[in-house]
Amino acid sequence: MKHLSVLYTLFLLFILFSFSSCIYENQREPQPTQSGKAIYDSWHTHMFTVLQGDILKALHFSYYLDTQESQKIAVEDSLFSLFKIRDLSNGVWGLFLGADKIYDINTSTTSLYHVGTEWIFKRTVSSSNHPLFSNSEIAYTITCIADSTWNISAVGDGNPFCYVSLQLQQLGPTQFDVSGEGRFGIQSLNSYYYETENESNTPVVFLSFTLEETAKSRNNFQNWSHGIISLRAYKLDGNERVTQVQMLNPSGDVYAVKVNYKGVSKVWSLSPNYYYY
Amino acid sequence: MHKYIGMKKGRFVLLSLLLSLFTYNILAQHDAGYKKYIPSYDISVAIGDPMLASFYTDGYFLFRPYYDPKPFSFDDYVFGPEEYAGNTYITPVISTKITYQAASWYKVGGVFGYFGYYAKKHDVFTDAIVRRENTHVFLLMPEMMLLWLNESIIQIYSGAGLGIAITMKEKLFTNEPSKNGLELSLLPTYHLNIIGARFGKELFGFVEYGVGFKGMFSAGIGYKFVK
Repeated sequence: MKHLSVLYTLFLLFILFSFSSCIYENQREPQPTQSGKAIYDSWHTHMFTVLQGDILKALHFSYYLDTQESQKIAVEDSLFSLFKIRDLSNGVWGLFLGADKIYDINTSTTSLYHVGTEWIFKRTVSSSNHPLFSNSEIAYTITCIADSTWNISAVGDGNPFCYVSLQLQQLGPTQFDVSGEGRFGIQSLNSYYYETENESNTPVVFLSFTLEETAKSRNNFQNWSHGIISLRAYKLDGNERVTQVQMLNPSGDVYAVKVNYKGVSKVWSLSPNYYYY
Repeated sequence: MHKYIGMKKGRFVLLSLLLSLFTYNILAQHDAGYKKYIPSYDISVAIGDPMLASFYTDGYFLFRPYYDPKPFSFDDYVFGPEEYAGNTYITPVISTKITYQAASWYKVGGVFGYFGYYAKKHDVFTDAIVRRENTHVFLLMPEMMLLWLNESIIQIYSGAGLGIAITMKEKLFTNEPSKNGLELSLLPTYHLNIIGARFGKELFGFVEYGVGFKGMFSAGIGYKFVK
């Protein structure tokens, strides 16, 4: 009887053991293209900084200059509500935030929409978090080469140096086509937590890109509806990741990217706007 | 409705099995004749839930199951290892205890216990296991118990213990054994047994409710050596 009792007890303990061992953390879904998507997201963020943060300001400023005097205040309030606009001298203008000059614009006294015009649009503040990475200023050379079409070039710091060489065509108030290439520098690693100990004066990761097919944006560079881009993220220790991304706009406000990474393709939905960090 | 009745039936059967375990033990030992042998020794084995112990040893108290271990930075996302985590399994706390009853109202003892986590990382492209990350935790804990009731077939008691846990975290790489690593650490452990009940004479079963490394709920069996 006692033996039976022991066996019975052991059986129940086995049952108890089975119930009390558990899965602590569930398996994650494998995402082979995640690195490629992260590279694209980073490019998207940095391209947005360049095009909407800087270049669009130049176009807006030209629009402001071309506006009739009676309309100027309304345009200023609409497009430069944060800035004070100051005429510095001989076609050179300044955009100020308080007492700080943020942009310095050499307009050559002609509209940026006139073919042949060349503007030097300078971001004058130190921009170590800017994709073109500069400890001093970043100067864009914007040249109107055809009707509503510009060549844009800028060289920043970094070793290798960061740069953009783009061609921009405006098709409507918020509609643009972009082609070209460039190299961005990433220094602060887009961390959840800003880690000051990582702060340095050199980029940690470089992001080279070439637009293989013209990229189209219909909402001021917030989303891309068309285009193919080759991206290479690399560090100076030789570590690199390469991906090719096709930008898609299946319908209306629905955006997506098809990421090709190491032989694997996946369509990532970007609607609603999707942020990694 | 039928499903509900089915669940109730299942619970009833399980409960009946557990209850019958102890009554069976008690009845089986009835003929032996009971005497409060003091001093006496006993040895027991118990299984407890690893809830609190895992929170302490894993470093993410309470929030661990909800914490999403995403990479922190672009650098990690892009250049980090291209792998994904499989299920992490955790064992219950398995402990064995030797006790000495010196008087009708108290006992002293020593607990040795174990629990562990077992996790695998898979290659994101091939699904192959690239490494295993296992954590083994060994508990050593002297314990003291006060008996509220010390009858022939039942004891009701409370207790407390303080000790140490030896934690061994090992990383085992499938293709690069040279990168294998073992990390050892020590941390204090405790267990407060709020209430425990033990049924049986020489062969006994027990259940305990408390707070600490042995589990909020634990149950087991033991054997009492009498002179």
